[in-house]
Amino acid sequence: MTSSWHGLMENGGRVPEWPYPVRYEQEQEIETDVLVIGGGIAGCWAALSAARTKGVRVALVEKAATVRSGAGGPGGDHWDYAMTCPLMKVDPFVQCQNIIDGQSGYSNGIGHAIECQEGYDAFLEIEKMGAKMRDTNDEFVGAPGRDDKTKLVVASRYGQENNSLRFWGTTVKPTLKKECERLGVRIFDRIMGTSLLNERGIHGARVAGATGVNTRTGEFMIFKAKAVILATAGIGSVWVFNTELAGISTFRSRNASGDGTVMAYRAGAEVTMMEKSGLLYLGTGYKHKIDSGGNDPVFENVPSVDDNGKALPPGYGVSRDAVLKGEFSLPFWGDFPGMSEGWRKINWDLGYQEESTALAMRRCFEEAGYDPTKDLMMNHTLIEGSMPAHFRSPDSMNDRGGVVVDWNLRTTLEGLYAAGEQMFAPAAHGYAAATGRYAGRKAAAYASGASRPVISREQIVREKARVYAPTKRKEGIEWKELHAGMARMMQYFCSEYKTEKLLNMGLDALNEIEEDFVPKLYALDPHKLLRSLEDLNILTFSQLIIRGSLARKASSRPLNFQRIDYPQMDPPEWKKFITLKLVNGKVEVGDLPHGYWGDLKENYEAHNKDYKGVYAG
Amino acid sequence: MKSTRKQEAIKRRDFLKVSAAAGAAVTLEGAGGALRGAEDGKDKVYILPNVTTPNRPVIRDPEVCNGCNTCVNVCQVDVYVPNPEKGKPPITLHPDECWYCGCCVNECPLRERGAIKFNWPLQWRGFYKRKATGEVFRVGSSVQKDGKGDSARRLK
Repeated sequence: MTSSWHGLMENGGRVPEWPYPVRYEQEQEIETDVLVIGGGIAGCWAALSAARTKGVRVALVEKAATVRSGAGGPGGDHWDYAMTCPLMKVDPFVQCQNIIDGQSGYSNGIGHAIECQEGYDAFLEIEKMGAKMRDTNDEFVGAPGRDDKTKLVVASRYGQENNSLRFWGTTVKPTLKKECERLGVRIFDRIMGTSLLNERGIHGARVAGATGVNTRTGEFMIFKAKAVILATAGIGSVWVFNTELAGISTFRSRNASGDGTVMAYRAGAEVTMMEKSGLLYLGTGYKHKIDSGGNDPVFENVPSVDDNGKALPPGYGVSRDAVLKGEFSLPFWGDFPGMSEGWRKINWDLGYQEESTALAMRRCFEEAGYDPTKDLMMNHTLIEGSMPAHFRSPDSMNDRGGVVVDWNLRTTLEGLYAAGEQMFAPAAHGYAAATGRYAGRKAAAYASGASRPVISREQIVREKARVYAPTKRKEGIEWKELHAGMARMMQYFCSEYKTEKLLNMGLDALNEIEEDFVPKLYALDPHKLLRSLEDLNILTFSQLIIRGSLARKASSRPLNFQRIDYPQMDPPEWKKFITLKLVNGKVEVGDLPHGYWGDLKENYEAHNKDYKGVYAG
Repeated sequence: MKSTRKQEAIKRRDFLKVSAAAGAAVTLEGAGGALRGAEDGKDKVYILPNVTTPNRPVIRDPEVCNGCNTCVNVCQVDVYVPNPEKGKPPITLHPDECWYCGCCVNECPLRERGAIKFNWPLQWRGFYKRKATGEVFRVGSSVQKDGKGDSARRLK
């Protein structure tokens, strides 16, 4: 017997039965005080932080396996904006304002304030739990940014000012999981959260729990909770769905389907910045991917040279024109041998070792004889041609659309909190850790004084019908075709050229998919059911992107948003957040002023008078 | 860096050896559509859809893998399921969902002994250039280098 599927067919030509028990429609009910949905960096921090409050029971729901799940599951190599670290030179709130200004106000100031003010406390806590956060083995003595007294490595990235602490991210996730377990968090792996339960089933009322489905058995999960924290991933593959060139990834794992944002929206919470998109340079599969943090295998501080060894300007500044004029020769190369030994070590032995998905790929290079002291690594800038317009993603590296939150990281619904990237925030390790930790604290405080949740059987029955519908059919349309169909509609109608006409056609096309094709969606096993349910989230998310795009009748550079029919860039009256909310089955458009959080320092302090710093318990 | 027929011959011998050791039901793993079942000495061909692409995120050594399913349990997207036969390597069921995070390989307790090996899809394999000589190599072609498992091929 072999380990490929078709190899199994030799076994007398019989298809083996599903390896897990199938439990469609069966229910398991769990009652807890704080429920965390999503067990990545933000979710683990939220769970362990909530569990530090005496007497608060915590449950953590994770779609994969908590030990390695999430964008930060495989690893991480830099922790941004740990501004209270003594080696940092900028005041936390000044830095926070710099981040917000850097994105022209389209940024979650509350989350960034927490990141800048409390991130370093989380950094120290995870170290106490057992993760490797400094150069304790003296491997990087003499490397740039390595502080000999503390053994911390403050290595700047992309030539920016020093605001990143390096760390050994492959050690983090198992450590977080262990701490969750130590504090008594009940972990439910392989459960996809499917919906939020409103108190007594009243849409828009307090959130009193959630439903989920087991991704291997199909069992239905009902969680009753006094408070729920959404810590799910952002979203990928809205515009690009391609398994052949890319595997399935457009930078992130298939699991990143915007579940939290969509669940919150369906329950009545407000979302914002949905119209923002980013050019998708990252690991599309059309690009090589040694590291999902770089748009090329050659990234961060590696100097680039052309094929004749001529230095390229820093960044990715060589234009097509310069190549056509013969100023630079293709292909370009990352000049690892040309780096100082210290920088090369930081990049190759820390960055390519610890960052997210880099480790296994680094091993491939090394086994193939690659030696960073001798060899240039090929850079793919320009050799693939210009980037088609539809290479777009809400999953840009900077803040993207998501749930509106206040200074308690509470959403606009009572009992519902959010952390990490889905609260119109960046996908960053330190941000996820700091905001998860904060949301956990706040949700636990709320839960301590909240009444027992009352959920509605009717809402559960409705959700079960929705969840299991694809399992009732054996033919129709499969999740992959549905996904490809939605992505194509987004490419046609919500790409670089946006007009009222195109956007309305896109909305119409997505609505047609919802009305005519979703009822034909079929799933042959619990795994395909999971992917089908994710598709339905991606569909809602895509509709919200178009709704947000229709609502913004102006172009905006920071949002990467170009309306052909409203060409004026960032007119002052449009410098605001557009919000979307489901009211009586209809989308209600609203707005929020930039800086709605008020004075950062004052409000942070006012909301955190009892904050005790690094956890001592 | 040299391609030699001898090495190819050794590889083939190893394959035949493994086949013999594991009995009749062994085939060349992940070899695409055609199945070469050795049962009854006859090749059997089945009705199968096209194999998804990419379809082999890892290469396993069934001699070393003890079917502990660590890789199944850490995978973010359930690329693998446990083998119906206990103690055997997991089945690659959803290779088209793999995002090559490498956790299955990194976490394998028998990785050092070769139970599992990361198999970068062809379309993602990188190039490098030796600065001193200008020679260009591609990661992971069939030519062995320095006696190690994977390889690079020098391009013209």
